[in-house]
Amino acid sequence: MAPPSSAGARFRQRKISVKQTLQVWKQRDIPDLELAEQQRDLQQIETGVEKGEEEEHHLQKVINASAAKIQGRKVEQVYIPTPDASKVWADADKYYKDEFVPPASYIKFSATVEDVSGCPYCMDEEDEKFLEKMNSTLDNKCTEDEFEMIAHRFESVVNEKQPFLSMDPQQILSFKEIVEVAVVPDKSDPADVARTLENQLNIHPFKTLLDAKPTSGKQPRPLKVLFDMFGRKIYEHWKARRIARNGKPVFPTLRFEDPSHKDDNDPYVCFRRREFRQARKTRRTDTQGAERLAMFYKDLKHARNILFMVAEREVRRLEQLKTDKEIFNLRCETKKVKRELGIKGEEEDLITHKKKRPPLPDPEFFRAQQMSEKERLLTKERRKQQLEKEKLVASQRQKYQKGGAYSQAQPGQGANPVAVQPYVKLPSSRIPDLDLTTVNAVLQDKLEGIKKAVSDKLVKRRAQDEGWVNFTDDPYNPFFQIASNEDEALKERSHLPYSSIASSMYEVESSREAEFSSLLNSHKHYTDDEIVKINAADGEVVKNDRNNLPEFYDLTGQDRDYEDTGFYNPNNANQHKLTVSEVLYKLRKRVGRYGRMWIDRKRVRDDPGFEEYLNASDDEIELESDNGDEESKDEPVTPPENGELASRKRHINVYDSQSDAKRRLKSRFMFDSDLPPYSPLDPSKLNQIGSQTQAIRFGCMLLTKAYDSIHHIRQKQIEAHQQRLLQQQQRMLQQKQKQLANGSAEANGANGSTKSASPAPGSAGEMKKLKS
Amino acid sequence: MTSDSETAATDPTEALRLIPPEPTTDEQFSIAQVAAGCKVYAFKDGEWRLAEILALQRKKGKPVYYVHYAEFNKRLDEWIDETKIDTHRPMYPPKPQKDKKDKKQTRKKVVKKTAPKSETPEPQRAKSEPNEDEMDLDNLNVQGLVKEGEELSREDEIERLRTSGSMAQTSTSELAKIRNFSKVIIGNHEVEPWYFSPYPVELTEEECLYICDFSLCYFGSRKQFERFRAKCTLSHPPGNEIYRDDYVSFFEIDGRKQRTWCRNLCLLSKLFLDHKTLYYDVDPFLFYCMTRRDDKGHHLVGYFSKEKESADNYNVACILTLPQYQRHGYGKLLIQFSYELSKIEGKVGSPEKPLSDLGLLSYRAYWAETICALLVENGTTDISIDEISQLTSMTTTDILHTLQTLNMLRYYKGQHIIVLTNQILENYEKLQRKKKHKLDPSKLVWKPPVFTASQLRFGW
Repeated sequence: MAPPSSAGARFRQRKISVKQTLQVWKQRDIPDLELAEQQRDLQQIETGVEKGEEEEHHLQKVINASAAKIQGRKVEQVYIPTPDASKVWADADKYYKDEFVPPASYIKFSATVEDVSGCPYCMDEEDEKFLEKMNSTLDNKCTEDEFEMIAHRFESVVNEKQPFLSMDPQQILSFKEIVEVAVVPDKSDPADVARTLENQLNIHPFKTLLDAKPTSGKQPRPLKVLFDMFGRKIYEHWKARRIARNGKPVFPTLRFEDPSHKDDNDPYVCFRRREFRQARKTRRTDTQGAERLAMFYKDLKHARNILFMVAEREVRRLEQLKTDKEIFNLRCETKKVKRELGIKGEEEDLITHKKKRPPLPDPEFFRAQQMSEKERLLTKERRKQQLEKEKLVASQRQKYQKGGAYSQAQPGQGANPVAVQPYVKLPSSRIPDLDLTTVNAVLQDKLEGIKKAVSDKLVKRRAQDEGWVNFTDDPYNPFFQIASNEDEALKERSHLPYSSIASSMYEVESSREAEFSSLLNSHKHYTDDEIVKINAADGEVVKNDRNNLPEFYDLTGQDRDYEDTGFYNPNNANQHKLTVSEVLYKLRKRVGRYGRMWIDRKRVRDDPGFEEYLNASDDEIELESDNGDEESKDEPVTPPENGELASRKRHINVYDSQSDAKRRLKSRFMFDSDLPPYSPLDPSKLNQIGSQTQAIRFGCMLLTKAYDSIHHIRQKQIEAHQQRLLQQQQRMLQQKQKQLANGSAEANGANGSTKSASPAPGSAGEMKKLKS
Repeated sequence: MTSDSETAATDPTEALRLIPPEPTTDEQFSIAQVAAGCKVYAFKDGEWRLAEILALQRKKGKPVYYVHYAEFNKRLDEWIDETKIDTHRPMYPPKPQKDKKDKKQTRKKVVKKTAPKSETPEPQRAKSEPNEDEMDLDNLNVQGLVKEGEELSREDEIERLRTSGSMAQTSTSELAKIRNFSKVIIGNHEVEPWYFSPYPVELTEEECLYICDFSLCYFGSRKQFERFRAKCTLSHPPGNEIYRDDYVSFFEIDGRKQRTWCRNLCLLSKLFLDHKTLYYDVDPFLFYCMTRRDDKGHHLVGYFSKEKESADNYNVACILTLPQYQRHGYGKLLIQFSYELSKIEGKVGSPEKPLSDLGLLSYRAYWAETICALLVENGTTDISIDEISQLTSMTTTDILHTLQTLNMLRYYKGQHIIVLTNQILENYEKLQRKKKHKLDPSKLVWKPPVFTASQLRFGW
C-alpha cells in the first residue's frame, strides 16, 4: 500500500496503541477540528475482500457512496445487484403441510436426516410410470411405499455385495441371489434396524415417531410377502435402470474421493476425508485400542439389551391395554344382553376389580425421606430452643457477673456447646470409594507381622544359641503353660495356680498349701538369704544352703536331686531367684456325697519320679496315716521316705477303707485325666483382653528395645562367662604345660627348646617366649 | 482468485479496454470466431461492457455464450446469445497460456526479491512484533488475507484447508467457473443460483433443482421430491435450539453428528458463496442456523459456520443469508449472533477472510453500528480500542478499520481522538427510529461446546 500522500499525514502519528485511552468527542463540541485534513483517500483502507474483487464495479460504488455519506453528502442508496430470488413457487403448499406446532421449550433434537426421511429410495417419474403399468395388470396393487421398500432393498444389497459393479454392469446379481440376502435383515444397515426390531419384537407394522404416515393410507406389508408378490417384476425394471446407469446407483449421489487416483481438480468431488497424521503406533496403543473397542462393544451391547427389554416391556403393555379394552367392550355387550334378557344381579363380574398394585420398589425410602424432613424440622426447632436457653443462661451469667457473686461458679454450664456432629456428612457422590477394613483384619495383619518378626527373632536367637541348650522357659511363647482345670465344678479362678508373670498379682492362697501362701503372697523376689527350703509335710524350714538353693518347693521337704523334677538345670548356678512358674499340681475340685467337697491334686509331670511323688504326696496330705503296700514297694528310690514309710507301715490297717479309697484315687489319676494334656490358660483371659490383643502385646514386648537390650546384656554375660571359662581353661592349660615343661626340662635338659616347638601347641611356645 | 481479472486490473492495456471504444461500421469479426477465452464487448444493463467468454454451447441449434463481465462479480456471469455480442467493437483473443505462466513466475520472483527490501507489508509485521499493542494505522493487516505475491501453492492451500478454514481462494478448474444450475426451488422460493456447486453432476441436466426446505435434500425429479416430502418428518434444522424470540430462532448443529444435513447445507450455500470450498468434509465445523417459524416449521433463513477450534481466532467461517431473505436485516442478526457467542466464550473474533463484497458491507454496517451505539449510549469521554474490543468481542483491527472508514479516528492537538461526527450521530438516530429487530442476549441458552482432542481429529 502506498504511503499516504495527503498533507495531514505528515504530522500524523502512524502508530496507535490499542491500550491507549482515546478521548471521545462529539464533532459539534470541537468546531476547530479541521475538516480538510480528513479528506483522505478512504479507498486505501484494506477491506478483507479479495484483491481482484475489491475493485469490482458495484462494490466500489457502494463503498464510495457510504464514504460520501459519511462526509455528509446526500447519496442515493446503492445496492450490489444480485440474481433474482423474488419469485414464489406456487406449488409449494402441495409439498409442505401446516402441521408444525412449536414446543413451549427450546427444541432439542438429535435424529439425523436419515432417521426422519423414511425409505431412502424415492421413486421418480420413470418408476411411477412403471408402477402404474404393473399395477394395471394386477388385482393386488403395489403401493408406492412398497415399491420403494423393494427397490431400496435391491439397491442396498447390490451396493454392499457388488461395490465395483460399474466395472461390468452385466454381472449384476440375479433376482434369486438378491432375494436370498434381501429377506434377511442386515443388522449393520441403519435402514434395516426397523425391520430387525420388527422381527424381534414381533410388531407389525413397526413405526416410530419419526416416521411419516404412509401416503397410501395403509401400512406396507412385510418385505417377504412383497418380494413374493412383486419382487421379480420390480427387479427387472430396477435392473434395467441400474445397468443403464452403468452399474451405479439409480439415483445420482455426491462424488466422493476415489482413493485410487488423485482428483484434486475435479470440482464435483467434495467432502473429502481429512487424513490426519497417524499417531505413532505401538503395541501398547494397539492393545489399548483393542481393549477400548472391546469395552465399547460391551457397553453398547448392554445398552442395546436394556433398550430392547424396555421395548419388549412396552409391547407387553400395549398388549395388556388392548386386552383391557377388549374386556371392557365385551362387558358392555354382556350388560346389554343382560338388560335385554332382564337378568339382574351378578354384576360383580362386570366390574374391573382394582388390582392390588405390586408394592413400590422402596416405600421405605419415601417414608425415610419424609421422616428426615420432619426430623430436620424438629432438630431445627430443638436447636432454636437450645440457642434460646443458651442466651438465657448467658444473660443470667452476665447478671451474676455483674453481681459479682457467681462469676466463677458455673463456667462449664453456659458454654454448653451446640451438639457437634461427630461425623462429617459427605454428599453421597463425594464419599470416597474405599474398602472398609475391619478391626479384625487390622489386628490380624498386625499379628501376622509380629508373628513373623518373632519367628525371625527366634531363628536368629537359635543361631546365636547354637551349641547351647536353653533351659529357661521358652521366652518366645506368648502363652504360658498353666494347667487349668476348667471343670464345671471349678469355676473360681482364684483356685488356679498361676505363672511367674502372673504370680505377683494373684492370690495363691487357696491353690497351694496355706503354708506357702504367705511366702508367695509377699510379692517379691527372694534373695539368697531369704530363700528357704520348706518341708512340705510340716512346713518346717529345712535348710538355707547357699550353694543348693531350691528352685521350687519341694513339697516332700526332702533333699532330692533336682534333676528328678525336670524343671531345674542344676548347672545353671547363676540362678539365684525363686521361680514359682511351674505348676506342681493339677487341682480338681469335686463335690462328693453329702455335698462334701473334694480337691484332688495331681503332679503335672507324668514321668515315673512324679508318679511316685504323687503317690507319696497323696499319702502325706490326704491320709496322714497309712500308705499302700504297693507304694512302699514302688518307692525304694527315695531312701528317707522309705524310712518314713517303713516307720508308718507299722500302723497299717488292712481294713481301713481310706487306704482303699486312696488307691482308687490314685488309679483314677493314673488313667483318668480330666484335663486335656495341654490346656493353657492364656493370660489374655486373665487380663480380660482378646487373645489376639494379648499376642500382639506380647509380641510387641518381645520386639521392644528394652527386651532386646536385656537379651543383649545376657548375651554379653554369656560371652563374658565363656571368656572366663576359656581363660580358666587356658590358665589350667598353661599351668599343666608349665608343669609339663618343668618336668620335661628336668628330664631333657639342654635340647628342650628344639623339641618343644614341634609337637606342643603354638600357644604354649609363645607363652614360653613371652615368659622368657 | 481468478488470475484473469487480476491481470486485467494490473495490465494497463487491459485497463484501457474497460472503456468500450466507439463501434465501427464494419464488422470486426464474425460471430463464429468467438471462442472460449476471448474477450468481447457485450450488452449488459443498458451499456456495452467488456466480457470474457468462458464457455459456449449450442442450444436448439443456436450458440450460447457464458460470459464474465469485467469488473462485475461472478454472480452476474450469464449465458447470452449472439445478439448481445457486439461484432462492431474489437474482440481480444486470449493470451497464450505459456506466456501467462512465464509472466506469473517472473512476477513472483520479482516480488520475492523485492519483498524484504520494500518498506511495506513484510517489514511492518516485523516492526510490530516487539509491541503487539501498537498498530500501524496505515497498514492494518487484515488477518488471513493473501497479499499480492504471497499466493499459496495449490498444495499449501489444501494443507491449510485440511487443518483449518473453509475458504479456497483459487478456483481450480474452468468447470467450476461456470454456474451449473439455473434454478433452485427452496421451500416456496424460486432462486437463481450465483455460483457453481458440486451437487451430483447428473442433476445439472435437470432444469430445476428441488431442495427440501427442512432437510435440504436435493432432487432433480419432481416426483422424487414429492415422494421425499411425503416421507420426511423434519420440520426444523436437526439440532438444538439455542436461541428463540418472536422473530427468529437459532439452532446449533455439529457437522460431525449431522453429516448429511450439513453437507446439504454446504452444497446449498455454495450456490451463493464464491470462495467457499467443499474440498474437505464438514466435521470440524459447527453450524449456527437462523430460522423463521411458521405453521410449516422452522425455515432456514441464513447460517454461519464456525470452526470448532480456530487457530486464527475466527468466529465465523462462512456466513450466508439465503438470497430470498436478503436485504431484510437478517445478515446483521447473524453477525450479531456470532459476536454474542464470542462474548460468552470470552474471546474476540473476526470472520474468516476473504470476505465477499456483500459480506464486507454487512460486516462494516454491523461494526459501525455497534461501535457508534457503544460510544453514544455509554456516553464515555474516553475509551481505549482494547476496551471497545472487550465490550464488543470485535478484534482491535476490525475496530480500527471501522473507525477509519467512518473517519472517526482523528488527530487533534497532538493526539488521537475519536470523533462522533454529526453525520454519524444522525445516522445513529435514524437507525434507532427504524427499530430494526435485534437479538436479545438473555434468550441465548448456550454453553460453548467442549471437544476432546480426539474429537478434534477429523479423520473418519
